[in-house]
Amino acid sequence: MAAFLARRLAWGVLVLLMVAILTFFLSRVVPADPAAFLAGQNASEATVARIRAEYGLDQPLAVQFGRYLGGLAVGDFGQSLRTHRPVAVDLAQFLPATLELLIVSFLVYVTVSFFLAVAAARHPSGWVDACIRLFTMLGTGIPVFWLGMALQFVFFYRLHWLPLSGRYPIREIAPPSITGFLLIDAALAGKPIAVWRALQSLTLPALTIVLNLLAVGTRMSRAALIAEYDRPYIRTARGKGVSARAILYRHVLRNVLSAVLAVTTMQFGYMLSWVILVEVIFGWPGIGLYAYQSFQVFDYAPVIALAMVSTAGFVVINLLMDLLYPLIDPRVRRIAA
Amino acid sequence: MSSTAPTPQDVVAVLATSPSASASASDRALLAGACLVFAVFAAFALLPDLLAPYDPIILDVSHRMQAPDWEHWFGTDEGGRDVLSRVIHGTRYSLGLAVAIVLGSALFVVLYGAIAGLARGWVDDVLMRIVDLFFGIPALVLALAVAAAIGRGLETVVISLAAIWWPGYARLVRGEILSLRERPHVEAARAIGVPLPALLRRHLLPFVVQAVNVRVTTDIGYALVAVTALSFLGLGAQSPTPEWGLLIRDSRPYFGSAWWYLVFPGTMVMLAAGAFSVIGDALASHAAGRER
Amino acid sequence: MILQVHDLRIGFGPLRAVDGLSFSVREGEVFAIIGESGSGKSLTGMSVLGLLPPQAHASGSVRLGDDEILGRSEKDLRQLRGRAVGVVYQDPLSALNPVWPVGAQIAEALRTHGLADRRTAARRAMALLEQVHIPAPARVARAYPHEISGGMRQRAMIAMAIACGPRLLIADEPTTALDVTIKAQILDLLLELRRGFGLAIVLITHDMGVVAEVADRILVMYAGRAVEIGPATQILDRPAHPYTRALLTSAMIAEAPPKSEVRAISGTAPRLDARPDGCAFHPRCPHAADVCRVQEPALRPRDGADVACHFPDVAAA
Repeated sequence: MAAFLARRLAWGVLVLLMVAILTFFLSRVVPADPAAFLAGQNASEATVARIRAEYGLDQPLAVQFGRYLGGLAVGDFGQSLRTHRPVAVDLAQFLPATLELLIVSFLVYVTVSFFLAVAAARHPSGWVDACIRLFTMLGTGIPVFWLGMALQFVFFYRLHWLPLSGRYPIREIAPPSITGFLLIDAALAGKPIAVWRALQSLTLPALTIVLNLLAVGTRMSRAALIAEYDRPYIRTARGKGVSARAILYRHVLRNVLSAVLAVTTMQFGYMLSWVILVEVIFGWPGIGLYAYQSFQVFDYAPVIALAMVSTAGFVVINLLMDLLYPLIDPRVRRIAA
Repeated sequence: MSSTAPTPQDVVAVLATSPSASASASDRALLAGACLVFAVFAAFALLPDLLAPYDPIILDVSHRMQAPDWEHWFGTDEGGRDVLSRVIHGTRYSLGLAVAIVLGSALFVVLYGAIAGLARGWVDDVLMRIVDLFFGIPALVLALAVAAAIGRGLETVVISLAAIWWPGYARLVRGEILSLRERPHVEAARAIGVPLPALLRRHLLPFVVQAVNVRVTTDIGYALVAVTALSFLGLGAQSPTPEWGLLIRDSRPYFGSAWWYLVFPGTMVMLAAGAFSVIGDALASHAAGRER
Repeated sequence: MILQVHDLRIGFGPLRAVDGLSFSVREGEVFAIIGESGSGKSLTGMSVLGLLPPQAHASGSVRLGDDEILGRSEKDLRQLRGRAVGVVYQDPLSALNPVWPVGAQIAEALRTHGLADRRTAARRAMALLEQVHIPAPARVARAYPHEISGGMRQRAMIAMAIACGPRLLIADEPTTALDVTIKAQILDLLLELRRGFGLAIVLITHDMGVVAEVADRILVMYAGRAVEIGPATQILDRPAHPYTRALLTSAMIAEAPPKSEVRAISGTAPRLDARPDGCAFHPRCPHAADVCRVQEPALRPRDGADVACHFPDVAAA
């Protein structure tokens, strides 16, 4: 088991290393003048020269890479030209918003997905199942950014139920930031109205992500469920006189868990891409929007930083999921041991 | 990761292409509809000048922001341009690019996957580890970084998306070859000493091509969505190119009142992606049926 | 009579998989159904449990004791399954739930029928494992299917099948997936259970060797019909139907008629949608005559057994 963990950890480090190489390549090797690239569009000659000296851009590539890696190891992503602060500080400020959005979306998705799967499995070829099939067919082609805008159109422009953008209504004062998670902070401040306001702002962005996850994941979860029902041990269970309900909950669901885990892990990768689009559309002040706004004014250090952080996040998620497999599936334990 | 036990990516790959329906009458009608949609879009991509009623680029400010009517089926945008014409012209940039990327990735990668599948052992391991590395990077984030480095434009889109797509095909081809080499006819051919290139050509490639076809068709829908997403962020096509993602981006200031500006380009994306998805499904069912 | 099947017909749409099958099984007897794959023998076994595939339609009568199975509600059938009749399948690795310990799966049988609470069921599961001669039953009860050997898995499946004390056991190819040495052990176990519990066993197989070991009565099936049915000694010593004789010779049974060569039966079993006219076996029968190509032979008594052949005497010559 320990060897398994060590292997997976080493793998994660390798991925991070590769992304570091990639980002290094993209920021130091590809641009004609890396100093001008990092200094931004309107930089003066003096600024460019200063950047060149600061980052050591005239030194051999190997040395540069060593410095780069060293910087990454301590969390030094350079300076943002737009905010004039270290990128690491900016990331720390904006990360909670992104995490809140991701976590809430994911939890809602898992819950809804579970109920949908059960409903479809209990009434195969029923109307729930047909709806799901229709939904997944349509849903794979809906761009997440379009979906977000469509939801804005319906719920803000037409119905006026929910806000257009932002994390909290502008005209109101947000609760003091303790954890950085607005929902929690509002609850800690003991103000139900604040919780409500935060929820309202969170709804559309989260809904956008949830719907997209459902469209992609439900198709695969459903396929996994259908395939599971064909397996011989189900026939054995029926031969024992086990009811359909018990078969579903005790046998089938338990066995599709590892396939579902695989699908879910992949979903995470998608989510990390979608969150950028969702933050842009809804003006959600997370690291996606931060990096994008920087990108638009040719401030590239945050973009590179986002690449590293997202990949690191995905690596961590993968590791966690990998740890879950042996717990879920006894057959994997033997391979892992 | 053991190279013999199915990995999460393998599981997902199987689930993603498993046919979701059986061949009933309504499904056949659906397939017919999808083929029709495909034909329409193909026409749009190949003959936009012939089919579009208006010019997609020239401004006509006197007719700006008009709701759909008989003159302008999809309405007009803020520059007075006919949205339908822009959508038709945009087909080759959005859908065309998606098709090119997917096909290009697939073609390139067949050799890679074949080598891995045939060589096995440590060669396979190394090649596949490289593939797995690429699975670990969120796509859009990578595209953003690439765009930062080489600037915006279609090349960026092509490079970023090709980098995202190729690992999937490498795995697919390798998996196919691995399962194919156990088949009796392949073993028989090897036993009588058929040389490797002929073996590839006659016994392995037909099946590989079939599997890749199915995947390619389904993937075009996803690639299309990805292309439009990149353009939406301004990383890909630039104004005034009527790329669908760009159209949606341009609609942002106005869509609250000009609903048609948002709805129609988005619907085109959904229709195209949906059509390819249905056709891909049908190909998958067909392939599965032949296996049996 | 523990099981009475009368004119059983099972079809898929227009295709007939089982076409008018009748037989009965007495208490405590080992009744073997032998045939090639596609003969309909597994479907027959499944029909006793009411576990036919959803696209299948069945007619006729399948009586388990006093209970008619065909047409019974799912609720009633669930009561009978496991309790009145148990099942053992071919490949115990795939027939057992891979993520549950073996003991828990046996316990499930007991708990499903309300025969025990959790703790009692666990204890009785272990006792059952002992009964089927599994060494270290405590360890095996906690183990997962892939962690124990094939022979032990099959024993565990048998334990699961008899847990609720059924009077009838359906064994569908129970030894096919096992090594030769284990085969014999499992067959011995089945016989022991028969003796100890008065258990009737319907043994479905394609292996004449297995049949020769344990059967009391034999039903030979071909293309969904019975071609020969009777006491085992009769059928093994004096097979009347050409198909039965061919099965015996190809299995190299000692009781096969002398001077017969060992040869495989040429040709293959007919597909469901391509049933030959007349006697279904005629394309592969070395003694086929014109009447065989045209007229289906009925099952007629001959010398202590029932045979469906126009020329049973010629075949036996």
